Amino acid sequence: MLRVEQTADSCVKCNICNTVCPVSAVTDLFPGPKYEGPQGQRFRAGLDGDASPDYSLDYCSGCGLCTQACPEGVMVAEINQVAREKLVRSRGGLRLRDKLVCRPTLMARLARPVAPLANLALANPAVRWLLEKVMGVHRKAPMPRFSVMTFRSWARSHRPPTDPARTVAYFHGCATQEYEPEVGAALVRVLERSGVRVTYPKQYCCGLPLISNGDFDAARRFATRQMASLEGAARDPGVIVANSTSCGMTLKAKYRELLGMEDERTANVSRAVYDICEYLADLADEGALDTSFRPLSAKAIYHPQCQLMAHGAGMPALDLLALVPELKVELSVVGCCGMAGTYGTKVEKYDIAMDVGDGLWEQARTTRPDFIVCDSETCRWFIAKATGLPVYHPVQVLDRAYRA
Amino acid sequence: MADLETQVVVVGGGATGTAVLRDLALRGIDAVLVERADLGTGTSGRWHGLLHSGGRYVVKDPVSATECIEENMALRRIAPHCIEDTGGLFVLLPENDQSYGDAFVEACAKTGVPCEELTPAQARKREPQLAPNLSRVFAVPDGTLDGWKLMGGFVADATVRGARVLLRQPVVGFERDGDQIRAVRVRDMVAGGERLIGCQWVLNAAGAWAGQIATLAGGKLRMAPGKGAMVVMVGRYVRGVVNDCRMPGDGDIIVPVHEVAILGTTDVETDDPDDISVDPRDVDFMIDSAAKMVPAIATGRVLRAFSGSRPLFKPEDAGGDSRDITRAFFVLDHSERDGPGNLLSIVGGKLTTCRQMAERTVDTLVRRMSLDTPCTTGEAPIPGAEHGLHRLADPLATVERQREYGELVCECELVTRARIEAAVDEGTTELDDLRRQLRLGFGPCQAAFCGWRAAAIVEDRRPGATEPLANLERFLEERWRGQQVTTWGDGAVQALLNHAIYRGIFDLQPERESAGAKQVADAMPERRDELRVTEAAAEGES
Amino acid sequence: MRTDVIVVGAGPAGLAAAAALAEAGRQVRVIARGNGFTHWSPGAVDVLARAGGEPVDRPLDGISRLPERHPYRLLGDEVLRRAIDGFQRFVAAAGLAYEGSLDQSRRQVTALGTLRPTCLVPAPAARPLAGRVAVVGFAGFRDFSPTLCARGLRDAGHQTSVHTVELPTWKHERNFTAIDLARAIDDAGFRGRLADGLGRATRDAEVAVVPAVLGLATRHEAWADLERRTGTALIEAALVPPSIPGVRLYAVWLARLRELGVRVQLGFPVTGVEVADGAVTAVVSEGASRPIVTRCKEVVLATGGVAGRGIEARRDGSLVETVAGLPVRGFPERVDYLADRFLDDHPLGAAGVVVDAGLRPLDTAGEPALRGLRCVGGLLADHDPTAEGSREGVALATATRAAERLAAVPV
Repeated sequence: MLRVEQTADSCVKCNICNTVCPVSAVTDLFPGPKYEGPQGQRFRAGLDGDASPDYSLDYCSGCGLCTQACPEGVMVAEINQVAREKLVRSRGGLRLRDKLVCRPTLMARLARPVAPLANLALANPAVRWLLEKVMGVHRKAPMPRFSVMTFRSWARSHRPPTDPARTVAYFHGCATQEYEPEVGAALVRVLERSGVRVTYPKQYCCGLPLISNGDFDAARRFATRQMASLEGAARDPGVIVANSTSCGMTLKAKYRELLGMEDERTANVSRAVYDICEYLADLADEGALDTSFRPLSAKAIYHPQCQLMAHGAGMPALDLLALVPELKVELSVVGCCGMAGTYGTKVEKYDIAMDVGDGLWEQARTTRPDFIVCDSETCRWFIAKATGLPVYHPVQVLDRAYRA
Repeated sequence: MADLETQVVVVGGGATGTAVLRDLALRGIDAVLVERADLGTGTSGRWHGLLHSGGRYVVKDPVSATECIEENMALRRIAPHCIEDTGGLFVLLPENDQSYGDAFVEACAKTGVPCEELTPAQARKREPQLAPNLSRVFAVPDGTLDGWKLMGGFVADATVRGARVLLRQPVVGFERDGDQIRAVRVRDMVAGGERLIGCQWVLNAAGAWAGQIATLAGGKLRMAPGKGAMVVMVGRYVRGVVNDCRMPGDGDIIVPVHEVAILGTTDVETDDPDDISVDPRDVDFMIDSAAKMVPAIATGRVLRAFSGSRPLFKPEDAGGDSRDITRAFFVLDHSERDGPGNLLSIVGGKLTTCRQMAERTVDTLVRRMSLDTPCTTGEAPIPGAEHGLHRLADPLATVERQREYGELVCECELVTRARIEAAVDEGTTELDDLRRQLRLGFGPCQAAFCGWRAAAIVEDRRPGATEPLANLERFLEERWRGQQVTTWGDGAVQALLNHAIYRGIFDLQPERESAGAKQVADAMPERRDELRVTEAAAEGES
Repeated sequence: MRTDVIVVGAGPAGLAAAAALAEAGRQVRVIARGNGFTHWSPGAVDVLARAGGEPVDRPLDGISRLPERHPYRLLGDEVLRRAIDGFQRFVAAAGLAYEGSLDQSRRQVTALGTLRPTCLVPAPAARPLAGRVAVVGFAGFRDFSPTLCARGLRDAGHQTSVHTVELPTWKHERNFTAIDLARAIDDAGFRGRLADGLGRATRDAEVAVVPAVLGLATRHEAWADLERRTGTALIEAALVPPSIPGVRLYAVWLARLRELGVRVQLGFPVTGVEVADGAVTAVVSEGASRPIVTRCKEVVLATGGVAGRGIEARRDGSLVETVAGLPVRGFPERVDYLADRFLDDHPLGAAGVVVDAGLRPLDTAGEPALRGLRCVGGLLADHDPTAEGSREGVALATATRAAERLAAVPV
């Protein structure tokens, strides 16, 4: 039994988790984290571990707000994820749609040779209609655009600083690599501004989509290769920064909690992982961050991604954004935008996801910010689609403020 | 002048009494069962839930072992829905007598208990929570049995054929005519007054109290009840039963019963089967013993503890202490024991063998009645059997299939409003009785959230039948009784939250006195519960 | 990471302390393992409901008879007065007015039809129970039984009628909790349609008792609106957790903290403190992959007693304060934690850390144990917030005292 499953013992049935679940708030199909997690768990522990009757479990988005709110330390969302894996296994594995959306690197590799065409196709309503019917990907779900140039090819042609005060390794993740190299470029520039050199260890998809969808075996294969790849960087330079709070959370905690990887190498790598804003905020605390930001006269909403909260380091981006003169930042009113990784792309869940984020869409309508800031990529795409506003990673704002 | 007439009065509404009632009904013999409280409130409501394969007794008590495996198979035929086919393991720990392993295998063969040796690695694949250092492991067909469901099924099968059941009507006397009992006198604890039941035969199935009943009837019978304590863990830990492979002793079994694990047990001779106190040291002992087999139990959350008295009978020529008394059963014909001439007592045995106990008892009676109607209880399924074997996830599957999430009253045990309403409509109004029938309040919150919901449903369906808050208080106090010795850690947080709900939010003050409350409170037999640390325990004997 | 003052715990004491400290000019961060008693308590402010098992008519009188070591006696009446005063002004300004005063206890209607003694009640629970009382439940809402509630009120001498109102069509036909219903009632359209059914049920009554689900984000507006539309006084009855009035209060505290620039971080417990020269220099909290050390000048522990996991009750009978290992008075045996009867008072509920009048925790010799550390709320010894009904009063009074002592600017 994984440690997360053991935490079900601590549940006192108080319903606090039910007050924060954004999915059960908007749909009858999901009975809530208490039912699904520690309560249902007691009925899954028997002989028939392979036969899971949980239809409703599929609607858990994995946002983790329940785990955060629980006063007893029950890891509700993680218990659900473990149960989902058993459910998937009992049904013979993932369906094709889920297999594909879980492998962004694979999809990118297939599409890159024809990136402009692929992007065009995915923007075509007829193609999207077909995709929905055949694959179950909602026609309105935001699809990122394949970048012609990958991040690593940008990095290869980027000249590093010659006399750095310190060095960090960079876990860029699939999204930066395939879809948003500009985020990675901004991160590198921001770090270099404070005398930090960036290295790019060989890395793989963090495997979170596979974990969230319930294919732990495949995720474990990625994770094992990953740890082997990153163990050097964990030793030297000893800090691995990640800009995706989802990837960061996965590397920090999910291999251990969900895949049961409790070896020393995994522990060493996990300890070395920092969210980029966490790292920059620590630099600022030490007085080592270049704070010569030019004024950015703008109004923004900061949406702390649900999985950012799972880092346990608060909202360091807020501290950083506060250093930019004239920038007014308002905190998002919702705990989860609804996208929850790949959840919001699915035809049966898209409407739920849109309902979950409704408070934020409303806030954007009334506040009328110039842009929205969010640490996680799939959330950025979803929020951009829903609000029509530009959405940036915090380092992009800092980068802009340095150069304004 | 009798209020009721019947052929046979069965005394005792436990597993044995209800099995006897069913057997009589199936053989067309008219009978009335009288029970002082609710079905299954004696030993049958205070046991570990094991459907014995017999493995436990193969070496020490082979007769009992064979009885067990035979009945294990019979119950699977007639009441599969009351059984979870969990399987069981006997694990030989390195610190125990290693020669017991071979003795065990040999004795299984001799007594007919199927036994298969597994490698420790295979065992751990099946039971990931097992301790890492096991010498040998043996698999046997242990299962777990839901006693209340079984008793309910026996009674349903009997009453549909005309048998009658009188609950909350303790026997207060017998009317004799010379050597023969003519009638049984019971007191109605709910409605008040007494009732006389005219009969030709009395079958004493009062278990640990059989001696008291026989004495009341003028017969000779001395029981040697063996009190045993059990600890209930919030989680289940194991898929199947895990036994310590050694001579049967204390703290050697972990039984997964529905969603919990019951750790057992102790055995102390007592002359007071109403003593249901639990010594906190026994609690610690059982946790530590079980942890030798499943280490995670040492730091797991404990739900509650309880104790019950085994209905042990020491035949006149036997010696030894409580652990040594045979678990075999005995049908005692009092006509061979200085009377009364029409009293039979059925004593000893295991809950697993209740059907067989009933068969032998009714066979004896039938012979005395000069009839030769055969027993069919071993083949005829009881109502509900069509469901097949129970699986742990069944309640979850039902709720999921019907999308009844919003209908759950007891969320921990997935009990819906409809099921509670049905039970109330059929006459059950005591919350504690609903608990036995439906598992209301068995979960981690121990009725904190469902207790008052159920009290409301009782009031809605049967206005005025109870005083709802007194009903609720009785239920909460009953739930509390098992928690006092087991509350620390997570359990302490739960206890204080529950207290904050009922004292803090609802301002329920202790001792709500009302006529109805007092009456029903009197209707429950007085159970002695003080935490006494006995001299014997203090000296290290246990 | 570094900040000025860290408050550990996000229950009523933690939130009140964080707000008070921020208003007193400190920079505050709240770190908590999760939500707390705000979500469980019925939303009232309990000051002193019972003493010796008997209801207290005047909280201030009751307080004067408490033992010397009781937190109220340690702090003195003035602090409590200021705390209650401040609270009432704060909630009124936030649209969540509370009625009552320290001079007079009041009764709050509960779902069981009992009348719990308390001090301040939110306006939706404050209407007097007089005349014909309609007790109204909502179809499909399992946490309120109008039959049961009405029975209790009848036993208390009221004239009652029982009704169930169908809910308007909404997305939760089959499966919903108090929080879902409260959010639905926030919506004017849903509320308007509900008012029709509610109005019919309450037509012949002077006052109606309903479950406490009348809106969440709209604070007390939904309740006021429904009173207008139905033309009947409405009383919200306290329910089992999750408490909607409690979550309303939590929301206004959170909003206030946001205004004051206080960060609230939930989900990871504080597991220790770093100490140098007998003073606390940092808190250590659990992080996703490594402990997070946040340097600070002051720490306020608002971790609750055993119920809040501020104190762990161990199997061996020992009691351990979970952040700084402060001394907690124990019991001879584990079984002494708890009374024989569930509804009696349980000694464990009163277990806590002994403090001085400045809320500094004391060691076994009676001296301050650590500098830079204060304790507030249920964590304090010598009082049982449940048994005596004092949870919010102690939370507010201790929060006020902590802010006084740690103010950047004199208060």
